[in-house]
Amino acid sequence: MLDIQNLQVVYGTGRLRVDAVKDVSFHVEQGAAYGLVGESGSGKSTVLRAICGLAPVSGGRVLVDGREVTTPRTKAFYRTVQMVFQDPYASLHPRHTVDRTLSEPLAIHGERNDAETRILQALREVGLGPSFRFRYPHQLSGGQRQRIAIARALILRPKVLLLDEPTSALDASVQAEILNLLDDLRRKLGLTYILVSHDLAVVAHLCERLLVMRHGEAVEETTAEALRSGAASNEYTQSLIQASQGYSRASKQPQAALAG
Amino acid sequence: MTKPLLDVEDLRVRFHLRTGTVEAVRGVSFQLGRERLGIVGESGSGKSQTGRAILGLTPPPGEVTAKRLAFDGIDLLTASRRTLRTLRGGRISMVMQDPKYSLNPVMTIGEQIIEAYQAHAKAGRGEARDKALAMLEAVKMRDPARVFSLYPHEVSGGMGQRAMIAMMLVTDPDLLIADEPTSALDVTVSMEVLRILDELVTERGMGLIFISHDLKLVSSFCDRVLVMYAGRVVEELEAKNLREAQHPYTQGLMRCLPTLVDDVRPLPTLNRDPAWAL
Repeated sequence: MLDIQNLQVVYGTGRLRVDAVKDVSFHVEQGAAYGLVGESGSGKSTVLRAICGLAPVSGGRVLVDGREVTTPRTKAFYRTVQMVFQDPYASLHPRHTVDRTLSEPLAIHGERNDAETRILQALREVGLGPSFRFRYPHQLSGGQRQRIAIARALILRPKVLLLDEPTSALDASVQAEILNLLDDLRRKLGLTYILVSHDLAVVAHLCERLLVMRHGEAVEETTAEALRSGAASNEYTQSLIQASQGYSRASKQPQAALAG
Repeated sequence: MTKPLLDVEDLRVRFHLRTGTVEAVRGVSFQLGRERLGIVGESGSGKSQTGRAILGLTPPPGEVTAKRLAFDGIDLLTASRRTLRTLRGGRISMVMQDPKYSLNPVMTIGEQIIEAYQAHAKAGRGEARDKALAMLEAVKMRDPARVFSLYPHEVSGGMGQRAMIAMMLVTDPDLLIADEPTSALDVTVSMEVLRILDELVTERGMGLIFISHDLKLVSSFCDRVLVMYAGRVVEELEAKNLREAQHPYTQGLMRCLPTLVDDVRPLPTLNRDPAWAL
């Protein structure tokens, strides 16, 4: 479904040149969920942004459904690929009602005629009732906002959803609800996910395969299964696993691997 | 436990708003010795307001009442502003969530630490400078002299938070309140910051109040945990006995986290019982 070949993202030139993503390749099957894990600055979000045209593709190729994407991306591309951002407080227009937020993609793609039924259906899909239709973002909780952001991405019936830390701004109990929703939607609608997160447990929960990134490079591609059984070969992946288990007074050694 | 360092009884924080009165903290009581106490809860549970009320940092129009709010025998509610000033930053310090917002952007890190030290100790500039450098070294800065002359925007989040800890500990406080000190940091960096915090707190025998939304982290870091829900403490337990939590809220919070070990699907979600908030 999605094929990333030797992707490079470079910002600036000369002395100011920053190689945000260096030679990253991976492949995602139709209907699969793929995770990108790493710390801040590892380039995981930049990969997502490069796929959907928010960051420049400086080298390599991005193929969706076997076809290479064009810059700027076409409308057909955005009909196939949609994105959900990290912060539901910042990604919804504060002065647009839910109805207006959800009808915008339809308007852009010239599908306004059955807008009402589709908006109501999109709300239903993300577990919100029709009573939410004319609310403003400030009248919604964080979890409800993220549901609206997901509904906005789904209203065009895309095949691929790019999820950039969709739950990291949410409380633990709300995170569980959103993860369940994403899991359900994928099964019901046959979606393909790419999920970016710094939380290994979240990625392992939602995705079958994942790529560990560091300093813009791919460190290791592994499976959720392997993570669960603790079979990560890479030292860096190991230290991420350790860190996700909580603080421990004893383990001083693995920290050394992280220095620098 | 001998005489407690901090004694809080029936602490209440109210906000009188146009739309009515909101009670953010509703009768919290606890005692703290020289130990690590965790306060856990979700957004809006009143955990941060509890920490702020102790320091007298409740923003207006907030109103703080308590049957008792005493630090080392000093009543914090009736203490004069002058007394509070010597306590705040001197004997009680606070580390906030995001170093980006809690450091002064137009002062070098070194100057800020010197300022904090000189506000509470009669010390010359040279002595304050030595103290600041020693403190930067204590928080494991690789090159203290260089960091000393950097501005906050020139350092990473983890370094900023360590600088913040250095500033807060330079006056040798008896009590440190850390409000989500690692939430803005990467997992591996936050482990490093926690390790430094842990060492310093143990070494100096301070009391620590660690406020966080992360139950797992708090239970692995603290001795005792208070779980807050809707402004109340719903459960108090030894951190190592977290698995035997009794309250359905604590149990629900524990269960709804995805884990690496087992694959539960769908994740159990939290059914909030209105009775918990009563």
